[in-house]
Amino acid sequence: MSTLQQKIVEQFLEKLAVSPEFDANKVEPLRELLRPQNKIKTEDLVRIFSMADGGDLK
Amino acid sequence: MIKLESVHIEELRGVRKLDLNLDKRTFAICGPNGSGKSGVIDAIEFGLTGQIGRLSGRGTKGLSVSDHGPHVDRVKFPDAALVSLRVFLPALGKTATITRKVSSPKKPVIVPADADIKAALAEVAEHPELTLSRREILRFIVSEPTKRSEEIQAILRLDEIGQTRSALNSAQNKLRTAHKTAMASVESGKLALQQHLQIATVRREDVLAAVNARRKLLTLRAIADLTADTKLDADLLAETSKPPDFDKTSALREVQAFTDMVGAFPTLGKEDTTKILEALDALGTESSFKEELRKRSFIETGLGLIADPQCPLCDTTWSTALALRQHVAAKALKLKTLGEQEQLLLRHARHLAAEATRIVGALTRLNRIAFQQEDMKLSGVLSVWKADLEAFAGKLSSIEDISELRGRLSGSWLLQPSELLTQVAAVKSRIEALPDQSEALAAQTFLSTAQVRLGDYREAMRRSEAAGLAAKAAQFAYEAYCRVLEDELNTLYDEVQQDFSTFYRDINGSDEATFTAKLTPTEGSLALDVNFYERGLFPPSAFHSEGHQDGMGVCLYLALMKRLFGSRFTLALLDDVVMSVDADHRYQFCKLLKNKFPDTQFIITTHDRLWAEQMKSAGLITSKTSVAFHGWTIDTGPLVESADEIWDEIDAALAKGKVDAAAAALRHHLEYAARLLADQLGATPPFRGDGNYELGELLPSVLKRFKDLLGKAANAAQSWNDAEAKAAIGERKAALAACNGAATVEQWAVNKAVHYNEWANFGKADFTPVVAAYHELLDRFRCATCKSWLYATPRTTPEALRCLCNKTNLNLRPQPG
Repeated sequence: MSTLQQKIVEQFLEKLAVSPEFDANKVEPLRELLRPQNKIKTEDLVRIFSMADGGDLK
Repeated sequence: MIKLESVHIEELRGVRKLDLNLDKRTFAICGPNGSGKSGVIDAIEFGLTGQIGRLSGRGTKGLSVSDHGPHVDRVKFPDAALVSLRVFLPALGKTATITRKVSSPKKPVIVPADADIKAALAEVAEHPELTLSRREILRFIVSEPTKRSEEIQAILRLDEIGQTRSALNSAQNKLRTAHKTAMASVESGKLALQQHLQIATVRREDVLAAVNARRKLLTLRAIADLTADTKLDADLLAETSKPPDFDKTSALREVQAFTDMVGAFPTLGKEDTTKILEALDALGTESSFKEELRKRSFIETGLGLIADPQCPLCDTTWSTALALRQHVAAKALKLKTLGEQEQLLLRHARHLAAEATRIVGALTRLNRIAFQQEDMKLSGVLSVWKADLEAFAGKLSSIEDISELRGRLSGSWLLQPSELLTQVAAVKSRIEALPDQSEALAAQTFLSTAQVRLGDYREAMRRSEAAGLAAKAAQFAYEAYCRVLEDELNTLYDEVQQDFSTFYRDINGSDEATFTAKLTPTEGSLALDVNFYERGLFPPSAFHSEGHQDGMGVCLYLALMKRLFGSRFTLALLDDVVMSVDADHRYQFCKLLKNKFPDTQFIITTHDRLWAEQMKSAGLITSKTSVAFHGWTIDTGPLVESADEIWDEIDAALAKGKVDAAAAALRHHLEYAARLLADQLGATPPFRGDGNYELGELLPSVLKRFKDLLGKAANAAQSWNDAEAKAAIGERKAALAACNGAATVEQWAVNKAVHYNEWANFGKADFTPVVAAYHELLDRFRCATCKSWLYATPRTTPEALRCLCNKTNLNLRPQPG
C-alpha cells in the first residue's frame, strides 16, 4: 500500500472514530480490513457496516 | 525502501556478464547510443521488480521478459539470465542479496530470508516507477490531461485508493437496497397483521381491542398495554391442553389475499422493468458506459476552455467557436444524461426489489399454511420460488448484476411456478372442508396466529432498523472517505505543484526565476499549466522548448516521488533522462539532486560524455561511482572502459578459441584508447565533420603525435641540459621503437593483413601476437607507476607531457634563446 493510501486510510478511520454518528465498534474491524496488502471485498464491508447492535422493537 | 551496494548481471538483455560496485551512492553510466546502458537499467529493474518496463505497456505487443529478457544468444536458456543485487535496507539497517532469474521472475532468492527483508523487497517489487525513462517523461508533460491523470494516478497508486472508494460505494448501494427491501418486509408484515386482526391500522388500541375481545371470550386477563415484550397469546398455553396452531378463518383470508395478489402479477413491476430496460439500453454495455461517464468532467471542463474556433484538445479548427461549443455541449449533455440514467435505473431497481420482497412475505405465510395442511408438494414449490425471488431482489443493487438480469426483466420477471394457482385452490378447498372451529378454539387460534404475525412484524421492523443503521453507516463511511480523499489529493497536488515549481526554478532560475505551475485536478483529468515569462499560464507544450518540457518532466517526477515516498525515496533509476536538461542548466540540476535529495541514490545513464564529466565536477559522482562504456558487441556486451580488465577478457576469449570475440574486444578497446589519446595528446587525424573517426585514421596520428611530443621533450631537455630527463626520454623513445605494435601501426595504411577488418578471420595462433603487439604499444602511452594515460598540457600549446601521479612529467618548452 502506498504512503498516500495509508495516510488516507488513517485519516478516514480517525474521522469515523471521533464521529458520534458512526458506531465506534466498527472502526477496528474496518482498520483490520483496510490494512496494507489486504484485498478489500464489498461483502466484507457490508458485513462490518451491518454489525449494528440491532434495534429492539420500538 | 533500499539502496544498491552492487550489481551482478549475467546474460540479460544486451549484457553478457557485468559487475558494478555502486556502494549505496549516486552512480553514472556513460556511453554512446547502443553501448548497453539501458540494458543495465533493465537488469536492475528486473532484479528489483521481476519486470522490464521496456518490454511491457503501450507499443510492446509481442514482447515479454521470458522471451526477450535473456541475451539474444541465450533466449533458450532463461535460467542463465540472472541479476543479483546486493541491497541495503535503511529502515531495517540490514543488507541482503536478491537474485532473480528470467526463468522464475516471481521467485527471487533472498539471502538472508528474514521476514522483514522479504516484506521490504516485496514492497519494492510493487514500485516499477523507481525507473524513469525519457518515454515516461513525455507522458507526464506533453500528454493530454486525461492521459497525464492516468500516468500520475498510476505513480501515486490512486488505482488502489480508487478501489477502496469503489468498494465502499458498492457496499453503500447494496445496503441501501437491503434497507429498501427490509422496509418492504415491514410493510408486508404489517399488512399481514392487519389482515389477520381485521383492523385498519396497527395502532396500539386497535390491536389490543381485537386481541382482548378474544381473550375475554377465553376468560383470559386483558392486556393493558402493548410493549416490546407483550405476548398476545399470554396464558393461553396454561389454559389449553393442546396449543392451537391453526386458525381456519385467518388461513382462508390469507389464501384469498394471495390469490388476489397473483391476479395483479401480470402488471406488477411492469413500469419498473420497462424503465430499467430502457436505461440499460441507453447506457450501452457495462464497460463502455462506465468509460463514457469517466469522460464527463473532462468534457464539461473542456467546454469552459473554448474561446476560439480551435479545439484546445486536438487543435482542429472549426468554422466558429460557437459551432465547436455546440459540438462539445452536445457531448456533455449526452454524458449528463448517462449519469441520470444510471440513477434512474437504480431507483427503479430498488422499487422492484421491494415488490419482490412483498411477494416473498406472502409466500412465507402461505408456505406456513401449506405446511400445516401437510401439503409438502406446494410447500416445496413455494420454498423454491421464495428463494429465487430473494436472490433476484438481492441482485437488483448493482448495474453489473442488473445487466445479467436483462433477459428475465424482458419477460415475466416473477417466474411464477406453473399450476401454482391450481395447487393453492386445492389447499383452499381442503381448508374450507375442515369443520368450523368452535368459538373458543377460533379465539385460541386467532390469538396464537396473531402472536406469530406480530412476531413476524416485530422481526421485520428489527431487521429494517438494523438495515437502516447499516445503510446509514455505509453512507457515512463512504462520504467520509470521499472527503478525506479529496482533501488529501488537493493537498498532495498543491504540494507537488509547489515542489515542481521550486525544482524547476532551481534548475532554470537564471532565466525563469519567477516560474510557477498549476495542477488542476478534476475527476478523471489533471491539467498542468506553467507560467511562461510572466505572460500567463499555458500548457507546457504551448511555448516552452522541448528541452524545457523534458526538464519539467524530471522535476514533476521528483516532486511526485518525494510526496509519494517521503524519506523512503532512496533509489531512482534515471535512464538517459538527464540529457533532457539543457546543457546550461546541468550544474544546477546536479545541485538539486545533491541538496534536495541527499538520501536518494540515483542511477543515471547518459550518452553524453561531457555531461558525465559535469556530474563529476559538480560532485554528484566520482570516478569510483561512475563507469563508461565505449562500445558494445553482441559477443561481449557493453565494453567497459577499463584498460586493465580488457586484456584479461581478450585472453579468456582466445583461450576458448573465440578469435572473433577477442578481435571485437580488441578493436573496441583500441577505438576507445585511440580516441582518448588523440584527445589527450592533441593528435591531428584528417578532419571529419561528423566526428566518426576510423581506427585506421586515429591510431597512426596518435603515434605520430606521441613521437613528435617525445621529440620536443628531447629538444627541451637538451636545451636545459637536463641529463636525467634526456635519459628518461631516450628510454621511452627506444622502447617505442622496439615495440612491434608501433611497427604494425606504421604499416597500417599499406598492409591489409594488419587491418582489423581481417582479424575475425585469423586463427588463434595468428591473432595472439597481434594482441600482444597492441598491448605492448598501448602500455607505451601510460605511466608505469599509476597506469594512467599520458596527456599533453595545456591543450592549446602543450608545455608538458604528464601522467595523473606526476611521476611522468616531461617538459616540452626549450630554454629561450
